[in-house]
Amino acid sequence: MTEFRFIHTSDLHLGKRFGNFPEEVRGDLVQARQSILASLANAARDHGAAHILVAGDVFDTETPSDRVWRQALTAMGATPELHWWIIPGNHDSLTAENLWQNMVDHAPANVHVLRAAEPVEIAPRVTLLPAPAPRRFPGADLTAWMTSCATPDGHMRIGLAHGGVLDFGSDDGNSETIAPDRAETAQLDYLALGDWHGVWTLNDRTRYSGAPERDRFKHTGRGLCLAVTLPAPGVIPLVEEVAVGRFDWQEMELQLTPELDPLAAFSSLLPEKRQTWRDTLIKVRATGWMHLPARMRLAEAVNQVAPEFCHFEFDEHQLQTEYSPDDLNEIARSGALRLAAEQLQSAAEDEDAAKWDRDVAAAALNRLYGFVKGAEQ
Amino acid sequence: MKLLSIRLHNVRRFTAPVEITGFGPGVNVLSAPNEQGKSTVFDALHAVFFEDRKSWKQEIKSLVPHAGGTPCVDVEFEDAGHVFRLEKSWTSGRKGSVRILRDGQLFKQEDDAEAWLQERLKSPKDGGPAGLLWVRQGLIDLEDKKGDTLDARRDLLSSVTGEVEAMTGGRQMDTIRAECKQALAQFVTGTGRPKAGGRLKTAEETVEALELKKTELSNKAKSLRDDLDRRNSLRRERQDLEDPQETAARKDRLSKAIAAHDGAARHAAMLERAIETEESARIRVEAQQGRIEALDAQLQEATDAAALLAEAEAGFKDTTDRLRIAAGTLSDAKTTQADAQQRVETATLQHRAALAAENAANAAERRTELQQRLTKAEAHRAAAETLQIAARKGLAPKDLEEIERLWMKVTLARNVRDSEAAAVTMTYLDGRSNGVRIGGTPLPDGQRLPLPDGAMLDIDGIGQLQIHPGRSGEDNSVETAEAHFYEALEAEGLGDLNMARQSARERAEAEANLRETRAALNAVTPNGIDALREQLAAIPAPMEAAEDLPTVSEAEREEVVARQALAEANLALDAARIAADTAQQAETRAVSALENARGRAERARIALASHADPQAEHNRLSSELTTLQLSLQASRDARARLALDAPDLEAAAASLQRAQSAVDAAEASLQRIARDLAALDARIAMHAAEAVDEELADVMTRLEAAERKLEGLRFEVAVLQRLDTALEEARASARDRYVEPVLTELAPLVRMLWPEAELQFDADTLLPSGLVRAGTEEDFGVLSGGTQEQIALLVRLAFARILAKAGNPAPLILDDAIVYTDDDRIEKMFDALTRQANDLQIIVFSCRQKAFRGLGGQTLSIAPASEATQ
Repeated sequence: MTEFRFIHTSDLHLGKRFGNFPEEVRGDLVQARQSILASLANAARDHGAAHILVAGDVFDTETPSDRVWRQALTAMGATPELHWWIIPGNHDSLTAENLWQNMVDHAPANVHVLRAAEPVEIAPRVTLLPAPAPRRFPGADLTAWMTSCATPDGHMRIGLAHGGVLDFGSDDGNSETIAPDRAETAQLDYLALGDWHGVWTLNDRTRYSGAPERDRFKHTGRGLCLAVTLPAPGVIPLVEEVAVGRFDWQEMELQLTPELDPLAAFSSLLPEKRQTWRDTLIKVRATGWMHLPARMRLAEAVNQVAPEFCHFEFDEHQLQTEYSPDDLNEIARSGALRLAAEQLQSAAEDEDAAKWDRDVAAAALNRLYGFVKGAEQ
Repeated sequence: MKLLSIRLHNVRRFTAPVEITGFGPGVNVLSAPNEQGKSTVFDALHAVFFEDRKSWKQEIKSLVPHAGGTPCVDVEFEDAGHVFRLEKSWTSGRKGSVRILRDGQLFKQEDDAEAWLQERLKSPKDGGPAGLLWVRQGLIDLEDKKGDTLDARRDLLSSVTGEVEAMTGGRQMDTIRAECKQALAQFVTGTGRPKAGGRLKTAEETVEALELKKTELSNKAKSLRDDLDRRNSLRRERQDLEDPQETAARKDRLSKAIAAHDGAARHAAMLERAIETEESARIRVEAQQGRIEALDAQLQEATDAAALLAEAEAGFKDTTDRLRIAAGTLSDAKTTQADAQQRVETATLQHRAALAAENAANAAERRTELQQRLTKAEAHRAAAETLQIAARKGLAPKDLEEIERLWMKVTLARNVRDSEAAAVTMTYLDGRSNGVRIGGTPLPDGQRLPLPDGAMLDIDGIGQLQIHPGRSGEDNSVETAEAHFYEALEAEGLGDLNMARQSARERAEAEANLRETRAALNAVTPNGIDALREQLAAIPAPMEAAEDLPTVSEAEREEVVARQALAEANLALDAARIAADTAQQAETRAVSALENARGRAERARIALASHADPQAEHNRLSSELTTLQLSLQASRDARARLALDAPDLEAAAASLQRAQSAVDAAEASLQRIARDLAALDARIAMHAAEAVDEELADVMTRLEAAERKLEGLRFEVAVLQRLDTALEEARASARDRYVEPVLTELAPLVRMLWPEAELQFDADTLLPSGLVRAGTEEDFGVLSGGTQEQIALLVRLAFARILAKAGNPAPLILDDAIVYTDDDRIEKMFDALTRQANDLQIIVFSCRQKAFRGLGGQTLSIAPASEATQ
């Protein structure tokens, strides 16, 4: 009995446009998403696998543009020695009949769209039990049928499904659930799941591959796929995580205190290898308190490094400014500027005022400080 | 700081060293004609303080004499209790030198010296006092009209004191406010609205556009999902319809329904035929019965017709008799009515004639009465005309009054004359009466006889006695009065006063009679004689009285009686006519009935004529009827048997229709579904190709980002507006603090030149903006050159005073700064200068030697440098 190797992936979300990012970033992310198919093919070749199992959500919507699905087919067809086994997920469910009919009609021979919940022998003595999503919210455990589905003796049984498991929220927050012991009850050698965008191991035989190209800060790091080896029926599979995503998504918190050197703390958060910054998206959430000059220096530091990243978000909504007499002295020791600064500081610290007004006053004081320093230069 | 001396060497015309010494506190005046080097001294002073030793710009190069050389300027000044000597020279190649001695000892040199100087005396560029305290010829404007007015203000403002600079924020405040406003202007307009094309407006428009797009795409996506649901539903429906078992069941139900319906139809046809047979038999029976009944009827009709004919003939005779009687009655009634009619006409005519006669009698009486009144009236009128003529002839009362008045005058004149005239009174002796005569008339005895005209008395026996009137004879007033009196009488045609009085009485009497006569006339004819005549003419002419006429009442009674008789005759005539008409109608009906009876009898006879023996015929027909009735009963029995076991054809047809309908409906549904699916497929394909969901997802994420961005921009705008407000409020507060001391210092100076006047300061530039005199504000720009010059100088004096009070006194140097001021005003300016010079050093360069002679103060002069200073 020869072992069976394959790549487990899901949630490609091709066609996602990333409208919440700036135009130039958006272009990079979309391009990377389209390139992920080639990266997966490379991973399969590297792993010695001839099959790539896609556990749903190949497309981001049920009506991707022709450009998206046609280019996807072209990319998959470019590696005829690899077989792509695809099921619809909740984002591109079977409700999208036209999409899947087009896929079937135009698919090259190595691309297999599985629209029915019925066993398919994808390789000698290897049977795939697919659970395509009939609609966005199917309302039932789509893998239930696998338990009663008989396959020839000696066949490896691989389940392929999309959705959440019990006590495991879907990324879309719906309540569709797959029995966590499905692999055991259905005597599956491996249950390849999709929907969760991060890698998740439920048990030895049940895993989420995560998205091969990340699309949000919720799941940090680069996108992965799983290189799976089934040694023989009934034997625990061997699984290896393979990094295939281009962009590294990082979200981190910068905790500050007036005594802390903000620049050093900030620098310590940044990836060591500067050459990776180009392909890194960072979201820094600054929290705590700091003095006005330090805040200005931190802002300058952020402005310095931000352009070097693919995308850099500096969220300072939770960062408070602590004003000292010296801070105001740096604006002016006396006179009208000092008067204005004191008035703004008073407004910023007025507990009776609305939060918006306090925030505005505090920001105005910061801006005054910035103008003064700018004028001095 | 206080200047003590200045020494120039190789500075323009001063190739040989010159010096000015003797600078003292208060006013110092260097007064000399033009071209004597005053401005050179001014420029040299400016350069030594404010131009770096390394400078070789035009201002420095202009100091080099034509023959060449190194400009050197040495200045001694006192500051903070020390005496400093500043020595500076400039050469090309920026190799000048500078050194400062303090109390005779080297204090600073070269760069250190320059730094010390810069700190001590900030240059104009750095907001130093030069712009204020160094006043060149003709530089009178407080504002640099060609340059930045703010700089001019700065020169003033920063000159005063560092505290003012700090207080208002200085240039830094201006820069920051400008940056703030510039940043704000990128987002909003001056009124705070989003600026068209600005980032805020663009962000708002983006959000709005994305929201619209989202709505549009959501609708499209919903439409697509609805279409997909609909398509699935239709497919399930089609699947159900095309189910083979269902299809076969529908066909089987249809076949069975068709067979059942055919059987029922055949049975129904047989029944139909049986019914038709029964109907034929029934018709034959009924026809036979009809024939028998017809024969019976003919026989009965013949009998009835004969009886009816006899009755009609009797009735005809009776009606003919009644008609004749009614005609006679009608003829009598007509005669009676005609007589009654004639009587009424006669009575009516008599009544009218009686009424006419009565009216004629009344008219005659009226005519007589009017005629009598007319006669009287005409008599009154003739009398009135006569009286009127008589009244007109008489003297009017006012004329009589005038004549009486004139007579009174005559009488009065006569009395006066007689009383004043000579008079004689003759008293005769007995027996000598009439012995004296006047004009032949004896003088009366014992009676005084006035003689106004004198007189000649004949005295019997004696002679004539001439009496002379004296002066009284000259009085003609009596004659005049008499002349007037008689003229008046003559004008009225009267001879004397009595005639006048008689004439007046006659006139009065005539007028009284005239009034009475007119009153009588009016009583007879209130409306005038013409009206009376018209009344008379309106009465018709008298008629000839007819004879034997009854009275009106008699004629009325006769007419009433005649009319009652006529009414009764009419009633009788109407009754007779009705009776005649009734009889006529009865006769007509009787004729008609008789004719009908005769016709009916004839027709009955003809009908029976075809039967030789009607009764035998009747018997034959009855026998045939019995046979036909037996045949009918047999047909009825056969039809009843068929109807008893007939299937329900309607139910079979309904079943067939339902089965067929189910098949047809299924077919129609399939066709409809096919059409709907085709349409849905096309629409879904079209929407799917539009990538609606993908687009919607993109729009939603972009909208989310755009909303965050808009929120951020609004926050940014709020921040900038908040900062701008804070800066403006702080500036306003500082401005108030600034202007007050300046005004305090300036007020007495202004009043020295213009009592009751007050300077106005611009809120933005903090410069004088106008002068208020006698309640009228004059803009600074429209003031005369002299006034502008004076205000500029006073403001500088005020600032210099404040500077001195702040512990940083600096000399005020004026180079022909008062050029437009007239002689009268210049004296007051000198007073102002002298007043401020108490704790200032003021150095005045002027070519107006004569005018400035009155300024007083220390007199300076340019003199060759002494040996000691060389």
